[in-house]
Amino acid sequence: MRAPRGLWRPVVIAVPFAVLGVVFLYPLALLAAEAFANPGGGYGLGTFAAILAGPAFHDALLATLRIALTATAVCLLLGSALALLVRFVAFRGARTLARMVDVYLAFPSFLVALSLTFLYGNSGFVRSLWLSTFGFAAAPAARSFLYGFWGVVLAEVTYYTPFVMRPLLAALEVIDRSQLEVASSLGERPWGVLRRVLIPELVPALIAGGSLCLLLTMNEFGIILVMGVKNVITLPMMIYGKAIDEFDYPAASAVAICNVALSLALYFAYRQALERMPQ
Amino acid sequence: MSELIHSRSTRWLLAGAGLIVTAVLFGLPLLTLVLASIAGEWTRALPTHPTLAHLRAALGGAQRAALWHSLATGVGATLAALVLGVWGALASRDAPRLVRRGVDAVFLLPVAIPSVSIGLALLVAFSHPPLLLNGTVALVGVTHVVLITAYAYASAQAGIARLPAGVEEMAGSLGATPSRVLVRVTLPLLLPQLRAAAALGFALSMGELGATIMIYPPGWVTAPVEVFSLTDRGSLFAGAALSVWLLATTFGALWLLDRRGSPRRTALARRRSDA
Amino acid sequence: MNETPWATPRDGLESPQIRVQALSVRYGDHAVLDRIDLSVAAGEVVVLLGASGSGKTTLLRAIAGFTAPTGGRIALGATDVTRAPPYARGLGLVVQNYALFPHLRVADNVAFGLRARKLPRAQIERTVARFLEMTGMAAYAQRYPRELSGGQQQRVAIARALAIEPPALLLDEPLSALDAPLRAEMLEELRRLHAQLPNTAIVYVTHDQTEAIAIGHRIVLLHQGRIVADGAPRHLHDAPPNRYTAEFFGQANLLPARILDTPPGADGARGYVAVRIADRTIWARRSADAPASGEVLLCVRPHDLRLDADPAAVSEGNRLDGVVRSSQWLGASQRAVVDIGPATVRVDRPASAPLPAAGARVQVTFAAERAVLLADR
Repeated sequence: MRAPRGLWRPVVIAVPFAVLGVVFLYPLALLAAEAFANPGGGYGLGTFAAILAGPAFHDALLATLRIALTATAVCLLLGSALALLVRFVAFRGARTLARMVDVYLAFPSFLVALSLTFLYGNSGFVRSLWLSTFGFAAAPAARSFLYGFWGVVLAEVTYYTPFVMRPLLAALEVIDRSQLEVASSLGERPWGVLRRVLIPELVPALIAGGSLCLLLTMNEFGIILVMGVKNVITLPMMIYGKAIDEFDYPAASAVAICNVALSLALYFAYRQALERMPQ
Repeated sequence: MSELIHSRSTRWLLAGAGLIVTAVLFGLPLLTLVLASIAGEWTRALPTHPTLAHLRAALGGAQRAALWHSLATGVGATLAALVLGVWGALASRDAPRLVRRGVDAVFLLPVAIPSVSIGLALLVAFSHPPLLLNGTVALVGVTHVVLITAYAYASAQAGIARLPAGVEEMAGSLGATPSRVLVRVTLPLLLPQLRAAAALGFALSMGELGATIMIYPPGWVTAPVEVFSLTDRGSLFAGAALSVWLLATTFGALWLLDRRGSPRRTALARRRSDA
Repeated sequence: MNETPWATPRDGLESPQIRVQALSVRYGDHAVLDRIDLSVAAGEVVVLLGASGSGKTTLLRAIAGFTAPTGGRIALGATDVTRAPPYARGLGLVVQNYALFPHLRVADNVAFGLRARKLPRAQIERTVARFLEMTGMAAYAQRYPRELSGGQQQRVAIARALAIEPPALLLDEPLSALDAPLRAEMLEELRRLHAQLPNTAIVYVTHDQTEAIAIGHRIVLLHQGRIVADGAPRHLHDAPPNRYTAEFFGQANLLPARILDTPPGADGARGYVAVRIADRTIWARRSADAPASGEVLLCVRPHDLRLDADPAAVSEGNRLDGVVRSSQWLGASQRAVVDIGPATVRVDRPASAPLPAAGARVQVTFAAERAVLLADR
């Protein structure tokens, strides 16, 4: 459809924009208004500054960044290794695996947390196997690692590694194999070909996949909620707690505004990286 | 292929390692979930007393309602998001660059914003007049539409960029009205992208937890929220059973969507109409 | 055509630079290469010529180390490299699409192999400068590959392969991506480079016979995984050993003929053999592989045939009666298609000759030394 000419044209263009304005931009504006509202009426930085200065926010921000950065780093390493394996070792399985990766993306993240509870939880498969093999004398710590920092990282790595693999697989598919052959005929060993030819050419895909992964892990909520992690409070968990448990909407809004700002910055970086990807 | 790894034994070794990592990291969780849904008891290494009771229970009462709520929300929100996204993409295609950038930003932003924050924003906004939607089913629908419209918009945009040059002008020059061109030429050509967008949007909606948990009314508990409240209460097997149904519903719908438009089928249909 | 080789290989006293023995590459029952034997001497330029699917690229890839042979041996100098990985072979490789590293500047592309060898920096810089100079790319050292034209990229690819100073340079259809004038220029360039590096052997894969003639000391013609001809271009052109070579190489006219019991006459004594074609006795040379009697093929090139408009004229040498089927002026020459009974022949004549009319009765004449008899297989 070419938009109709004349008077109707702006109207036709405006309709979807207006709908999104009401259901998305207007709520965002009210969120900001809530965050910057003073308790006594009017607007100011009072509530906002108080929340941001508190140790709870500080801890949540730190926890969010630590989890997101760790999970992203592991996702990048694991995703690159698997993508390279798929491309150079099991080439025939590549298409099947690419499809499986797509399927994984349709999987809700919190289910990974639930599955891991059965696997590594306090009464999960691995602990039961350990106990029935070694007996109670060698019992591991009462609480599984799953309910802390590394549990969250494991769940996020499980869920988000495919997100990193997708751009990598796409980039690997367009890399000219004769480049690798020429590099090897010039005397470079496989490790050197990887380091000097492949990885430099994969940098845009690594940046794109990594920044998307960082964005999604920073915003991840379902995994931490369902896993029942009590001592790891990230920004989304803090927003949820303030709003649902404490009904403190202004505080929740203030944290949310920070979280949104952080995400938008990352999203911008991600779009920039995407534009630099070939094709 | 042997461009990089020339030794056959190294290749086998690496393939084995990759397979094990993939199986443990990605395969095992899925398998566990399915096993848990049919476990009567899980105190040993492997579940004992296999039973279908959880799966059957998940098809009744609150859980059945939750599945139905998710399905209804998913279908409704996906359709609405498709209309909104395609409309937005078509309307902005000829717009000046600056306008287009603005439309792009607004449509794609929800992807970047944490779902909990979107949930909170909608909760805050629609608890006030003039739009008082708090505690209504409509708020759940609106939330899901906001979350998935971006994907419909991005897909439609990608499809429009790939439209064969000149076909719409050609249809117009043959005397088709703009609306006829839209229905008979543009939309059918966009169909593959729309199908992909619908699949992704539906899957996201079915699995949405972060925003929904902020705004759901007591009478419209979706399946993910129900899974959370079940596992939070300690009913892990029931949670697993409902999850399995949730996944089955999602993938069933995706499969239908995929099958309905497979090239073989359309080719068959064409042959039938020729005969 | 190159009567004299343009850079003479060194005397073949030492062991050959590349020796391939009974090399086979099979996929299941399908033999891509079937017991290939090939030696390339130091400084020799060998062209692997063949249609697509003939196995020429597979042979090159086996020599480079990218295709594992299912049988046979490959040696470089005195070293057996049959199982050696590509990086241990030290051969220079140039491919059709250049395969320059897009993230590296021209100088770094050329330095790639030297850095892999961990040579001292100063030496790398000297070598890179030398080969960029030699290929005329010195002014582009700091450019990225995407900023270069196709011909320039190919020069960089050649400089990169030569920089490791390989005993042999392997070129896989190196000019196929270039247009005709640029291809001619690059061929000239390659000949010039080889003159500067007279000890470097070159194995050059192509499907284009003009390229093969222009650059090869020796042409190895492959067909269905086997070598069907191996020799100097001139020799393959004038005395093709078999039908496939004659047809692939220079569009020969091939006429079915039967060998006559040659009376011990003057012609027989000079090595000529008499055959029967369309009730005429024709004298021709016999190739080494042709049978001594029975059915053979007479091979004669279109430009070695002449047309005589007077069907009754008595001319020297071989003659056949024919009817002109069609004729066409082609700019630099003209071509006539003439029906001579058992077959049709193509005749190429200077453009200045009168164009024969279709249907005209003519005599096709040719010298006995320009006609050769082949086995019909």
